[in-house]
Amino acid sequence: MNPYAALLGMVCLNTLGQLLVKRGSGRILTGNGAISLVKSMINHYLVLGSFSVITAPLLYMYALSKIDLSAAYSFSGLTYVSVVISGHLLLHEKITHYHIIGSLVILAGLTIWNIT
Amino acid sequence: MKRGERNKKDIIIMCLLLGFSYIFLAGGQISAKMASRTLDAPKTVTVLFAGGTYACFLLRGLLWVFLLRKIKLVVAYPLMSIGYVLVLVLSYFLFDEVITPGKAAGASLLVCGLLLISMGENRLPVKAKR
Repeated sequence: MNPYAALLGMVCLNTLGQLLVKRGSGRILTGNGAISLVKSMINHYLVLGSFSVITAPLLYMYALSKIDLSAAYSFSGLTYVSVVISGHLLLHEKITHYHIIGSLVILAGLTIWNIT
Repeated sequence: MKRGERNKKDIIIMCLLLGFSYIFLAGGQISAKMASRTLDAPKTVTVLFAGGTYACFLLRGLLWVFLLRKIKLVVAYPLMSIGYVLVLVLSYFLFDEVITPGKAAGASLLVCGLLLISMGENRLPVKAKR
């Protein structure tokens, strides 16, 4: 597998994890004791979210076996961009012009970092 | 008077936690790279490094969840972005990777981009925030 494909997969899994955890955290019940807290934490959003958070580092370590650490780590910046975009599209979170310009700057930085 | 003292204590604790979050970041990245470098070594070595990676990632995540309750996102994002510089320096000293002008420029742009996003978060009305 291409190491960059693995890194993109990691970014997707991390983003998916963030979205699912955000969705699932709304279902957590606090104030009714520890048992109901733990029970409410085992909802399918949080479980799926944890699954994607657990698999993402495997892809990262695979990519690291092929490319430099400094190159691979830059891709964590892409997660911020994909979280902003997917948060806006799927969770209808508000974004500003700063988010858009910031995301473009991050993409430019990522490109320069990896192409040169 | 009492309130001032308490704030000082809070700030010291914050800085300590922040310091630990950088240590876990560095530890996680180093052990991830080591895990991928020791694929030919006995399996236990690789598994240990992989376990270390997970432990560091998890601890760092938990620390940030806690820190984000206490500090504003507009401060937190730039603090997180210091990680890019940290990892570049680590990879230079520990793994003999070169810091090209492109990497330095790219890292600066990533830091700027994160700053912009954090400013955007700061401009959102409080209701729309997480």
